[in-house]
Amino acid sequence: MLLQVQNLQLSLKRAGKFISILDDVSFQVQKGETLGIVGESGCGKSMTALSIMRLLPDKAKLAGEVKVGSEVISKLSKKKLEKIRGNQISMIFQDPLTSLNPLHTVGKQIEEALILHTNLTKKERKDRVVELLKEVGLPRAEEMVKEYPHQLSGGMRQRIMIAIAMACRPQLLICDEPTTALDVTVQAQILELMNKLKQENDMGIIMITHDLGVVAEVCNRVMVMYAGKVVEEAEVNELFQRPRHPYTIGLLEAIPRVGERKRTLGSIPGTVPSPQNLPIGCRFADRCKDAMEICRQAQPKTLQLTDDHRVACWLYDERREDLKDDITRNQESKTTLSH
Amino acid sequence: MFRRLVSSPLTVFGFLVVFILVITALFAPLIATHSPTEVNIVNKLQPPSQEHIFGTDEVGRDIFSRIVHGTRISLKIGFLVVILSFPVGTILGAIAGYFGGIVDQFIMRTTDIFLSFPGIILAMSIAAALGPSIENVLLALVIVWWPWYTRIVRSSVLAIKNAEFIESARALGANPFRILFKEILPNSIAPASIQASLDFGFVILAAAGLSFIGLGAQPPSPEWGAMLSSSREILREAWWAATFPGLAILFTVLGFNLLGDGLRDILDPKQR
Repeated sequence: MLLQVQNLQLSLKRAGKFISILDDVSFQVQKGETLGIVGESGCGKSMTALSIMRLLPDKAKLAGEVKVGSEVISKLSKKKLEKIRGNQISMIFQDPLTSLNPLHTVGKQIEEALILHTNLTKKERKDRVVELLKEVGLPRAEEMVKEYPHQLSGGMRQRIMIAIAMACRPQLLICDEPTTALDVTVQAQILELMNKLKQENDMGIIMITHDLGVVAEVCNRVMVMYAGKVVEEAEVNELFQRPRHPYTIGLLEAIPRVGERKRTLGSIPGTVPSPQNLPIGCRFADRCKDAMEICRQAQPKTLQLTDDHRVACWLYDERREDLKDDITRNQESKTTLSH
Repeated sequence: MFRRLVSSPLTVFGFLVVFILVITALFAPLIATHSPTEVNIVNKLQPPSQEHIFGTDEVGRDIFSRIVHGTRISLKIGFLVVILSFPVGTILGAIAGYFGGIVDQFIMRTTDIFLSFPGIILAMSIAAALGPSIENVLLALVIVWWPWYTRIVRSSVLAIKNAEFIESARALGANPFRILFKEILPNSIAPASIQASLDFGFVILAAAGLSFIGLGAQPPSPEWGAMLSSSREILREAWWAATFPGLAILFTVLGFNLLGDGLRDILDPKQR
């Protein structure tokens, strides 16, 4: 097991109050596997990634356990964590233009990772930088070392970001919407490059995206998040063929398909509940067309449907009838008490 | 960059003035026609002539030579005050902006204390308390000047500290000080350095002002403010004794200002 995340809880301070951003997020990534994390904006995908690296704002409260290999990194000091960042775990961000420092040359920025985490001499570092540039498929690597980010195109810049991330041969690569800012053909090349690097280095990838096309192309497993919770997780084909959670079904229906004319695209009515104002029951209940009474009253448990498919939804919970009675009884007793 | 500099005639003018000033200061003994301090009572209050092109003062010293030597004092003050207060202000501002919280509060409230008095009044009281001399004027001006850089740098640090490339440097495992000095400072120093280039002129003006009221350079010294001060009583008989040091101050401040403005246009990323 490469990465194991257990019961991640994150709250951030907004206007003096702690509000819950992530609630009980657990998942794992194997060597050589790509895990996709999908969901609408604000569902906590990026925050999950930043929580693993602990790149959070100062006033964040984080609980839960993050394990890389056999090492528990969620307990490490800041100093020790700096040794892991960019070395064992690397990250690629969404916008390759703003992720590069405009004042330093490309070569210098790749070298920075080597300065921070290796003892290579200056000469060795220079050679390694050129090697890395070639590895990520950039032509004229020798000249590019001396160029500045603004002289390069979006796709080239994202390749540079990948070169920086790969500089120390990380075991885990976290990509936060790496292709959102790129056009479709470049997007395909970048995804292909990442797949190639994954296979060559036997590393794990976490791919955060809202593009289900990207998921279908590169991911082995997919985790669907909604309002800070994991609602469904499955092997990629399983999820596309047998989605269980009404939210996942809604997401899949919202994808336009080539060759289809008549069908109106599905959309999910309503908006994501704000973290300041989360419902007591299932967080998706207000937008769900299958919502039942119980969905508004209690949070669904995560159910393991098969070995590689889990879902958090009352529709698949056999106990819902029994629980329903319990809840009504509870409410009755409460009302009698208040009389 | 050179082409941009040349394309603005005012910047070229400013550059020329500053260039001439620097040359004058470097080669003062060669350029001056007489000794700046030699008294010659017989020759006192001579109007400008072939022998004394800017005339002589109330004890017969050659005003041109005094102004030439005074360039050294003024440029030295301007240079030292900026060179000493700039790094102090810049580093404090960067720390305040980047770390925020209580550190920020402490540094910024300290600058507020300094900025709550008019600079020249504060400098006057410091110089007066330390005793009148050119070194104390220098110290007083450094104390008054650094908070400006702190404020400027802090605001530009705040503007870029949440940029994605800062985040990715953190993700790469760089520690906070490395991020501050390698990623943030180089990207936020331009506005403060433009202010610094404009400040050369203002520091020279402030130093001349302090010398004028007797808190800075003392009488035999050919400091421009002190020269102006001692020529007050003879203004009616000898216009030249006050006019030429005054013009020297005027052109120096103007030159540095025009150069600073030109630099701002060149360094401003929006105009690139």
